[in-house]
Amino acid sequence: MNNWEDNIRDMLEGYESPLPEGSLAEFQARRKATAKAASIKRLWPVWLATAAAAAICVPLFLNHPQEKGRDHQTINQSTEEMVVEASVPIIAESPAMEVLPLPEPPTNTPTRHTNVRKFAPDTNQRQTAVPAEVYSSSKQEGPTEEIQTSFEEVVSGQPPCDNTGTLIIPELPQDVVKPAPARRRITGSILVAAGQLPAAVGGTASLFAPKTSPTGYSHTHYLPVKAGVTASVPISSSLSITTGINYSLYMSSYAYRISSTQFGENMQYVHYLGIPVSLNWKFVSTGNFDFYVGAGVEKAFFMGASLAGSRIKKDGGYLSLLGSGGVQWNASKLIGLYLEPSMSWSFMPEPRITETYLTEHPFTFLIATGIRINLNNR
Amino acid sequence: MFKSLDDRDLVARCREGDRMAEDELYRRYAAKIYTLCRRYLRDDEDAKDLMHDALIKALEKIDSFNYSGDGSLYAWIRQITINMAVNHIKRYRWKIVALEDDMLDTRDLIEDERVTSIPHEVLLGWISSLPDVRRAVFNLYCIDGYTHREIASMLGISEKGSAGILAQARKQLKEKIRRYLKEA
Repeated sequence: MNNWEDNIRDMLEGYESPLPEGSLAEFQARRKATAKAASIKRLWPVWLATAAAAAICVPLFLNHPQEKGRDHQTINQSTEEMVVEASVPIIAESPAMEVLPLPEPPTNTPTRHTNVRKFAPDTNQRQTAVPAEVYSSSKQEGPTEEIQTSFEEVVSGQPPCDNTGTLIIPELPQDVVKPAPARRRITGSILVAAGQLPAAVGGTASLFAPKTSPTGYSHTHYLPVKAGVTASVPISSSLSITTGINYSLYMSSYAYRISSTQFGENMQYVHYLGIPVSLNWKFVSTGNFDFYVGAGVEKAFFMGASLAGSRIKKDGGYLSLLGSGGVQWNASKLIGLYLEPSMSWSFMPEPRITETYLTEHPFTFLIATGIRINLNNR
Repeated sequence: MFKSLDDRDLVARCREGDRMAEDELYRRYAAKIYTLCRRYLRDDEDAKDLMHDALIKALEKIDSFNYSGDGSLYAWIRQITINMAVNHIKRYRWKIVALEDDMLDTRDLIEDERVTSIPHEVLLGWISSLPDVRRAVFNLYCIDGYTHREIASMLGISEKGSAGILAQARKQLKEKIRRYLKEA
């Protein structure tokens, strides 16, 4: 190399050009933008896993029966929103029902009174539909036929306890003599009856659908649908604490008979948001798969419910003891998809408004799936 | 606080994502990298952008850096910058750059000791005003110490072509130096 080139090299190698003004700020801004773009790009497995979880959960949700929206001519579903306090066991206004007009009464015109008697299941007496009042013929010579069924009887099928005017609507026999009751009176009586019994768990739902009633009422609690995102914090090579957030949807349908030929159905949707905390032990780890067992608790918070078009804004949550075993596929260092059969025992404090699958099955077996973020594993 | 850190500790902090450490890395090497970029690119604005890109790329790849003594960090960043500069030139080498018309015979020798009297900015200006490929070859060979074989591989030209381009770059630069010294 020529000497003049060596001189130029020596001069320029040690030389530092003055930086343009604002160069550092520009560098910091570009660095921040680049880092943000890189983190978004790194999260593509998250988006992929979320999409996969949604692809699994959405069909499960859609396959559950939707609110059928049956509108019988005689049912006027209330669509007004109601704020219901848990301390007040009055839940939702029952759909206004219009009882079909009965056949012409016999010559002995019955008179009204509101006696409530205990039901004796070992008698031969038939259940009589008494929406709000009991009718008896005061002019009849023979014994009056006064048969009522208390609220608890219809719900539980057991002999009733002392009650103070709780009424239920069983099936109307054809030969019961009574006039058509006023609509308002029926609704008021039901609400009063529910109000008088703070332990009337489920309220209107139970009213509509006593499970063991011989009168034709029924309810169906569907298995819950759960979806969630959890994060796992390793505390040793095989132990980790997992927490996150779970969404649960409990659906129930209530069918009730209005008359011998007409039925009604209402759907109930109850939403919970739960925070699980569990300790997991990974006993086998092969390739991208981890097999583990775990135990923990979950506190679920009531997020809202709807029943027959009416909203329930406040109700109790529940606490669950969890036991699980599962497998996790590690899509990346950070993200995993898991399949986790689990068992749980739920404690549901009373009083509460809504009844769900958990009310009748506090011990449940579920298969959960979701995405898990592995912290400390970047 | 970060000014007292040596390069090894500074790299460790940058790996943790410490923004203050990244700013300190910028302060230490930005001026040198900017000078290097000005040698390779015609426009000062492009040189500034390339300098920022090179430092950001170095920070993104900081995990792959192996500290091997004083100066190794600057040498690593410098290598990244040169590669990016060459890629930039290759991308734009199709641009037609007018050659100097007044290239005279340069048989006369340049007085070496007088070259050192030329201001740095003037030298940088002459080098950056060379046509793209000549500028790249001159910088790679004369200042950054690459062989013609390496230059040929980097630029996608032959070794002979690299030598020929270097000769043209030298001729052009010598003329500028001679004129300057004559006027001075």
